[in-house]
Amino acid sequence: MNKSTILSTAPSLEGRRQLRFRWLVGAQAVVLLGIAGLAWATDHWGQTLRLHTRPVDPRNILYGDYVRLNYDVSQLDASLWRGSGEIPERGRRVWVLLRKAQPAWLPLGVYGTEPDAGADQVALPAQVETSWSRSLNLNYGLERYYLPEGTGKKLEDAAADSTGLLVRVQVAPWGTVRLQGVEL
Amino acid sequence: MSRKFIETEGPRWVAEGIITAEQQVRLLRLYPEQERAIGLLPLLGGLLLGLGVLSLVAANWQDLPELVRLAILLFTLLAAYAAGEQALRRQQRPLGIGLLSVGLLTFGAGIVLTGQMYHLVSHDARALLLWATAGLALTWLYRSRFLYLLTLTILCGAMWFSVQEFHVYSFVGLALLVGGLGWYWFRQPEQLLGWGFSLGWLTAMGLLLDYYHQPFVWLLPLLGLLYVAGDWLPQRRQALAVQLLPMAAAWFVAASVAANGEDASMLDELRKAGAPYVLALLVLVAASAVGKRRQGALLSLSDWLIFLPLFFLPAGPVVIVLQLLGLYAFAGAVLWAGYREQWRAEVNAGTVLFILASALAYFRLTWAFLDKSLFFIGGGVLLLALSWWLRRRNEQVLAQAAPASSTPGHE
Repeated sequence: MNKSTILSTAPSLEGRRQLRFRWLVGAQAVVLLGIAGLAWATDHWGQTLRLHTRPVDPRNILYGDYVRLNYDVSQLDASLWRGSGEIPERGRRVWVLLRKAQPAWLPLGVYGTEPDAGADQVALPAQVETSWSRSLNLNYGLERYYLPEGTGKKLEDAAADSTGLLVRVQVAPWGTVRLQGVEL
Repeated sequence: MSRKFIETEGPRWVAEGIITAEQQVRLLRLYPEQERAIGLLPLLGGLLLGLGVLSLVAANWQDLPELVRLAILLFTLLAAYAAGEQALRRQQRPLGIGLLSVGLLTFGAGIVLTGQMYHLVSHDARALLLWATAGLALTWLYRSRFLYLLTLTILCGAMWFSVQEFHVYSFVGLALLVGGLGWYWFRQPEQLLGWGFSLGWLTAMGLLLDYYHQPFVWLLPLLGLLYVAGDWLPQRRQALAVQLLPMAAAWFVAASVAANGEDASMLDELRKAGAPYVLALLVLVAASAVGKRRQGALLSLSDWLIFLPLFFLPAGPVVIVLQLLGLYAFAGAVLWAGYREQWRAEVNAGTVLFILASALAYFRLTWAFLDKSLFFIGGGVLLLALSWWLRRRNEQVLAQAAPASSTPGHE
């Protein structure tokens, strides 16, 4: 190999590596922006519903910087099961069809596959935490609320009041779920 | 040669007249001291500054507006990667890889923190797998062992989290482990990577069996795949890093059978693996044999002795004695190979295995049909005979080698 070919190939190899590195770093930045974009898009195109909840332990509401929430729809009667076969076992993915009501939305049924939601209805994905013959314990991924600064005290006051809280949840048409905030 | 070495040894060289005092000073001048000290200062300064900024941001994280938080994450990500690349271009490899790792960790923290900031609900471990994928790409791009192990940790963590949190076994994670990290090791079979990959494979297979509620003894054929992969490497010696863990696991199961061979419930538990288990082992042994032949090490097929599924026999003394004989045979094969290849580590391993098998036999055994002392006397005589034969053979080999080496070029 003579000198001129070394000079011409070496920078191009290094250049290609450089290019790959930039793509890789750029892609990671895009992923982070994408997550923020997903939240924004859910805000924009998603349907908003309200769920009634209580902090799990009202006396000690602040676990670090988040609070644990237990929803009315976290425990559902097994008679609401609309899927085929037995009541779903632990770990199974299900959808809870909710209909609009005041103040909080109410459950219509629990499905094993995503049901078609009518007007003023939303299918919220959940996971079976425990299941007995009479009831289903569901996990929506909405059970942890990271507190925005300054809301801790207000939340604590509201929780001490036996009426509980309303949580605003957004569900995008493509399935993204977001806890938008707590109504105080 | 380091400056310190010249400083300590120099006066003696001068005293012995090897170099003059002036030459010693000139030599010392070649290795200036300031350079390293000065190079270290900005690094320490940067570290302190970084820690300070990190704690400041962490303490006020919830106070900051969302867009500012996002901007901080993105800036940290880009800055760490750019600085890492810069350091690598200046040939400062440890610093460069360290900064790239900070970039990768920032990416993971960014995923978690951004999701948390917007209260997004995740239904699977996709985001974490994306993180591992970024680590995989970095590993391949920079060929770094540190990045390899970091990525392995992230990937295993993601797979564990998927099962734990979402009750889903991540086959995408498994594909990344095998196709990304496994293939990387196969192409660059370094010891450390082999060890790392072994542990990663053990984690992935353990999770798989746990998730599908399969008998844990299936771990042996699944680890056996790793053993076979070692047989298909171009060089035999590199295989040890991935073959030791499967053999240790098989030895442990065999030892349990030897220790509790009359416990029918334990054997029943193991037997749940069923006929497919035996079939899987047969396929593995065949694949291993083909690989070993290519490596020219067909004799090491004796490693599979401890994989023998003797627990399919009815519980009782027969299982115990056969399993003990299996363990002895394995120890003997390792010793034999060690002597043959003149490899001290293998001889030591064989000795330890032999002692362990003897301890098991001695403290175990309900010797209803065979006198315990007879078993040991027989074993001892066999071993002494073997050692005598090996020594004689060694002498013969040496005697043959001596005249051969005196006539070079005669081949």
